[in-house]
Amino acid sequence: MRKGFFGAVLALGLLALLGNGAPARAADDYTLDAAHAGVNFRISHLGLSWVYGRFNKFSGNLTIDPDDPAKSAFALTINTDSVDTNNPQRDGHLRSPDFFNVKQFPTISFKSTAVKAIKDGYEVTGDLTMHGVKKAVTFTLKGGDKVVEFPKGTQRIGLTASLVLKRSDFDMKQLLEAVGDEVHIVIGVEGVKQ
Amino acid sequence: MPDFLLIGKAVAASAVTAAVVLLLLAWPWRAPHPVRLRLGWVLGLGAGLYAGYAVLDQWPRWPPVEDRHRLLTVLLPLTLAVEAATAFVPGPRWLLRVGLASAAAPILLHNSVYLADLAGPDSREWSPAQAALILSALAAALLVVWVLLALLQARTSERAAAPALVLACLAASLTVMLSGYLTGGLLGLPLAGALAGAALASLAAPAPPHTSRYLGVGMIGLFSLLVIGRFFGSLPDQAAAWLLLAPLVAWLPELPGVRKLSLSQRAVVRVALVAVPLVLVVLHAEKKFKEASAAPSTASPYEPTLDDYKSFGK
Repeated sequence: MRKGFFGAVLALGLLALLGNGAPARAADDYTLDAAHAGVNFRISHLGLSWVYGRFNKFSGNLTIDPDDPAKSAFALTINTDSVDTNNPQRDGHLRSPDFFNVKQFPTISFKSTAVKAIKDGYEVTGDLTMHGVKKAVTFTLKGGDKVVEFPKGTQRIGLTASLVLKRSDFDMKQLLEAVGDEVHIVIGVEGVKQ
Repeated sequence: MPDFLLIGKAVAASAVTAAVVLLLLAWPWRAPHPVRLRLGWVLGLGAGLYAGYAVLDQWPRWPPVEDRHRLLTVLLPLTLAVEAATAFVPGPRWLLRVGLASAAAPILLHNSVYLADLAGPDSREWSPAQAALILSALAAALLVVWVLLALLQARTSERAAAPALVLACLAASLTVMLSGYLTGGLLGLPLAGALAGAALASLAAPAPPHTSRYLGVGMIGLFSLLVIGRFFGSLPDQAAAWLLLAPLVAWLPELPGVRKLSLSQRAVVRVALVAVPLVLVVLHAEKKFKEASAAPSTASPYEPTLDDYKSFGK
């Protein structure tokens, strides 16, 4: 009798271990930490070298679902008025209607529509809206697999992306002979868990 | 600098087209039918405008997401429609024009940071009360100048205000371009061309009272250039105000001392007087443009000018 009882307990214990075990994790929501993030770009100047620039004001949200990456989501909003190429006259021209037209299109926004897990990160597809034009873009987002607690009590995660866009695809066609059509963008973000 | 050859072609295309259409509809020139003459003005100006815009590769666009698209696609066609309607029903013409003047700035500023929360909740630059005040003030300024020029027309001749408007549109175009909004300023050149072409062509036909229709198109066009230059480009407030008010200098030859001159002498004096403030505004804008273009950047003493960029590779 005792042998049978202990055998049943052992069997139940083995079943519990062999079963799903730990419960499924929910997706984690992160708010972009702008102090530890950057949206940078470079563009060809006369075909000789590059002009580098950045946007100083932006915000975003990340949702990372480790169990089902397809349910992850990424969103970023950039203030076009914050464009900075370290040259006030050039920045003024970039803000004008001949380029970003910041009084008409004050933001550039990205919202993901599909996320797929790949080695070392995610392949993200989403809608990029810039200068009144909305286009689907796909790029690789690296990282998102490591969570660090810093400062104490604050979970943070990091991701980087790089992509190339043609500004003419977004109806920005001024000075195409002198200033490149392709814009090389590098984004690095840290997200803080809410 | 902009492509002067292309600009010349655009102005010529708009002037010639406006003139030809007006002359065709004004036939017989010795005694033109008033309704057909009014329509000739409207259709001539419309055809001239869009002929010039076609040369500049500036087309109406739907949906009109930017200010200059709203000007080409909505406001100018609306203006032409209103002026065409007054050709047939001249009675309520000023009621329609007041409506047009009230709608002009809201159309141009539609869905911009001034009137819409484009960058998130409460991000619009003008509160609803501020927007109402500013838009009303703009409409009032437009109407005051428009009515005063119409009164000058009624007092002197149908074509009295035409040269003043042509010069003002030309000056506004150049000033807006020099204020950092090249593509917006370009829109004023076919406007000046069409007004000039139609006005010159109308010399072939006598002008009965209340038959010319250039004033409405010219005023809405001038006002639109100044609004898009000020609120989307970097046109200073003072320059915008001077450019809008300068055509009123055309009233000076009606002062007692000068009124003794003949009609044609007064017309010449009128043009000369209007040109003075306009030339000063353009020269000031050019000076500011050159100073800004020549300013060395923090990084390099060899900074090229905007002209250098525009001419690169050509």
